[in-house]
Amino acid sequence: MKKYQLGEFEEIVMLTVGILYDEAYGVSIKKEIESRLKRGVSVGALQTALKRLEDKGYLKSREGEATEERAGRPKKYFTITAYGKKAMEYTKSTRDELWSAIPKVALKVEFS
Amino acid sequence: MKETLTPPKLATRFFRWYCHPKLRNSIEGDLMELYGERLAKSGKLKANALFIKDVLLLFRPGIIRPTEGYKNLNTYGMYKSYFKIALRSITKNKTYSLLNIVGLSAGLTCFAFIALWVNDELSYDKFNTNYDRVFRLVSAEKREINFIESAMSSAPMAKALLDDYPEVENAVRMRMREEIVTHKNQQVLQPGILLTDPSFFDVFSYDLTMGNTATALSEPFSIVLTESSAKKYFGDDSPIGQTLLLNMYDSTGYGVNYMVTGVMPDPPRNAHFTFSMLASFKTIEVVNPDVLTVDGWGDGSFYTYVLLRKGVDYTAFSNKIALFYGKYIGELFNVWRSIYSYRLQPLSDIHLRSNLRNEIAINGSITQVHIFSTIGIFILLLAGINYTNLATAHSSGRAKEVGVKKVAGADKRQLIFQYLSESVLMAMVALLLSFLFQGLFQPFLYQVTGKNLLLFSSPLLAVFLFGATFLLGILAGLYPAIVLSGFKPASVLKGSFKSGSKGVLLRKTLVISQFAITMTLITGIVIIYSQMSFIKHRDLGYNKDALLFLRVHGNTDVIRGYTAFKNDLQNSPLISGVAVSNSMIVGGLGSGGSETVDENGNLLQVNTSRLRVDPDYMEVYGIDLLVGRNFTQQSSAQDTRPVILNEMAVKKFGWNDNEAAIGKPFTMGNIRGEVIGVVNDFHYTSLEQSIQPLAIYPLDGRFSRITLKVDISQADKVVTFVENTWKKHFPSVLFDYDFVSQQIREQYLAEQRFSDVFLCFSVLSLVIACLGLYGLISFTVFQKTKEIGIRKVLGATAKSIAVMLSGDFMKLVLFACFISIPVAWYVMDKWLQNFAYRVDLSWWMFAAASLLVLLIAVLTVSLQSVKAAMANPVDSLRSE
Repeated sequence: MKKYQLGEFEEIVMLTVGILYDEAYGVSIKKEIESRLKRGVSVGALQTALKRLEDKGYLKSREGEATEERAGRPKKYFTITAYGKKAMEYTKSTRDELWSAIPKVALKVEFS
Repeated sequence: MKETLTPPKLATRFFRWYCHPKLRNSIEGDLMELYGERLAKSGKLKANALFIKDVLLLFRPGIIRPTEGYKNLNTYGMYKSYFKIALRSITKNKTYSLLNIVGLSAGLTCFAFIALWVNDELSYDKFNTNYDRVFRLVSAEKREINFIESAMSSAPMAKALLDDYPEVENAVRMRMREEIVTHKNQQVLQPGILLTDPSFFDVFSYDLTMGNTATALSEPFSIVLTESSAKKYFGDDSPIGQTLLLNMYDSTGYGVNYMVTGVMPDPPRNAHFTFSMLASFKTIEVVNPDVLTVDGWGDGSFYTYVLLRKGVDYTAFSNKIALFYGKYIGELFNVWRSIYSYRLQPLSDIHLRSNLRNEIAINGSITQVHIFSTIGIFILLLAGINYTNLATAHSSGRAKEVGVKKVAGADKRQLIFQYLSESVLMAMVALLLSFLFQGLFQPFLYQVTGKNLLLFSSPLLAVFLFGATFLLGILAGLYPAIVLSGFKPASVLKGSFKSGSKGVLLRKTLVISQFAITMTLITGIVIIYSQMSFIKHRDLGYNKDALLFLRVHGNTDVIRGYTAFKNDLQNSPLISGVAVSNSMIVGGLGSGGSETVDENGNLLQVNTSRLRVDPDYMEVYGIDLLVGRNFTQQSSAQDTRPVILNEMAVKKFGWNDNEAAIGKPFTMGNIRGEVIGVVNDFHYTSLEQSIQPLAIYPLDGRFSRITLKVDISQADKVVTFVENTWKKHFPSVLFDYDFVSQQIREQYLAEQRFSDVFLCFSVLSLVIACLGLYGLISFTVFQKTKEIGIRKVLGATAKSIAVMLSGDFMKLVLFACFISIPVAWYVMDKWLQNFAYRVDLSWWMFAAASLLVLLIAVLTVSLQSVKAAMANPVDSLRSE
């Protein structure tokens, strides 16, 4: 059960890293999530999540170029590992399984 | 976008300080990028605010740097590994570690308790700010036959010292009383009433919570209550200005009202005297003006304390005042100068080093402090030795570990450090466990010592205990650490290494010393117990059982109505005799000087104990009249006072025999007397003191104790009957009774406690020593598994193997016997010197103690050796 631990925010971060593919670093991930999901993301929350995902082995990082707007600090690019992919697939498949198990009637609820 | 990015400096610095170094650069880059964008979009203020917000929100566990540092630029990791290895080796050898830790924590618990107790004993009176300037006036009385020092002195002395000597800054007088207090028609016996001067508050460091120290004790019949006494009598009401009826210093015999003029906190328990209330000394002077006259100079029934000025050398001053009373007593001085002298005793000596006559309360003893400190250190040593022994024995098991470490580059110093930290860790674990034990045994300690000692009440002591534990860990671990770190890696790793022989001599010595200590303690307890039983069963020279006594507390009704009361009592078959006296013969009598003549008719100044009784007394107490006659009922009316002496007096006065005593003059306090009889030497003091000459003479009408000889088999019935009779005759007087045998028991309470505590320690030391022995034998058995197997295969019997295994150890224990006997002999002989009447040390005491220890050692050893000897050789030889 606890094979692949992936929290809700972590999953979003993983997905975003996937979307950005080769361009996923702190600021770009933050902006992507903010623009796609219309929610604010603090640097702290994002960095913690990234570190945790890296520690779990779902993401790997490499140091990128240092630019002037970053005051000479390098970017840290993230990519999904094979293990990370498995975790995402696992999460998705469990969701799908659950979705498909819901009887149609149960979802016939209207906003009233 | 050419402008430089300058986010708030403080926030940047804060971020750089806390951030994990591996993340710092990239996150800072992100922050900078965002800052630049925000700066362009919404201005500096907003960008700054958002920057600070981000930095603060980044301050969370995943991002904060670990405290240890991420790169090991130091050797913390090494220490971590030491710790880990220590824990692993503790859990690997569970029995061995358990033996060690239990032994250590038992030793530490014991040590902690002893330290607490010793600390408390040494703290007596130290709360006084003038601790080193307060002295007690001690009187010495020198007669032809004896020299007596008393803690008491006379009432006029304090003032004389204060007036005549500039060295004296202040002086205070005291008298301790136990009296009946009547409040709301309830009578209670109130002990610890201290009559004293207002200067009490200046000499000693006591203070009032209500009232004025300067005036509270200046008027006669005023009292100051301690908070608990105030609560006892007045509850939550303010006691100031209220009165209590005390049967103290009243001429009526029915009590007099004392007014409460102050309330003070309960006095500290660790003082050589405590009290429940203070009363003004002025009361004594008003009721009994004689105390300040020349007669008063001879009435030594008060305590005098002086406060010397700073810088006064007390020994010189003490010599100076030896005869200071001379100018106050006129012609008497010619006689007194050779008899009475005075000296000062420092307050610091009173609790532990003073054992004078008439001490204000029972004191401690420095000998006991020494004995227990020694025992405490010994027990700690025993536990430490266990560790050393077991650790060296097990060292071969860790030889490979040392070899590998050395190959990997560890040097000797590091290894020593590692094994030391292991033993310290072990000791600390034991300390934690011992805290638990201390909590557990706290009530027991309270019961035994009568002191409520809490470790955490004195943080200094807790720190001391930590220090002691640390030291113990180092001392115990030092030898094994050196042995372990000294292994040669080449020989260890090649496999040709054989250990077990290393440190054998040391191990043997340590086992011997452990058992020598234990056996000394056990011999000690055997001797203490024989002395205690000797005390309990010694014939005191009078009939101590079946005696019930009643305290009169100076009540006039009782003295007047005594005859009727006595007749009523004697009508009952439960009571076979009633007598009165002015004092109890348990716990010592008052004494005084008398004049008599020696065999050649020369004047003889003597000091005797004094007892005043009625004619029935001898019969009730079963005292034998050896020669002469008893008093008669009217004897007090005669003009020469009849006196009965004890045999010791006859002997000390140098008279030929008991018959020769009859008719000798015996003058006490200007009243001529004549010896009319001699009684046997009965013990009227505890057996610590030898019997002194005693003079018995008739009462002058007043008495303080009524003794009944009763049918002890129906004790309950007797008490009920006596109480009813008492209530019938004296309905308003407190019925205060006790049994003489009970009083005698209480006399030896201190000794009883001492022996109880000693017993615990001896047993504990035996247990610790046996734990160590058990550990060693199990190790030997483990090492010799193969040898035993081969021997069995070759036909050795289980018995011969068990004997072989145990023999070695038994030799050591036996050897310890021979060391302990002379030591125990010497120490216990010294202890017995405290008693004037004591058991003789005899061989059986030593034999019994040695046998007991040997037996227990044999049991311990055979637990393992028999098991090993019975084991099937197949199991031990099967695998190679």
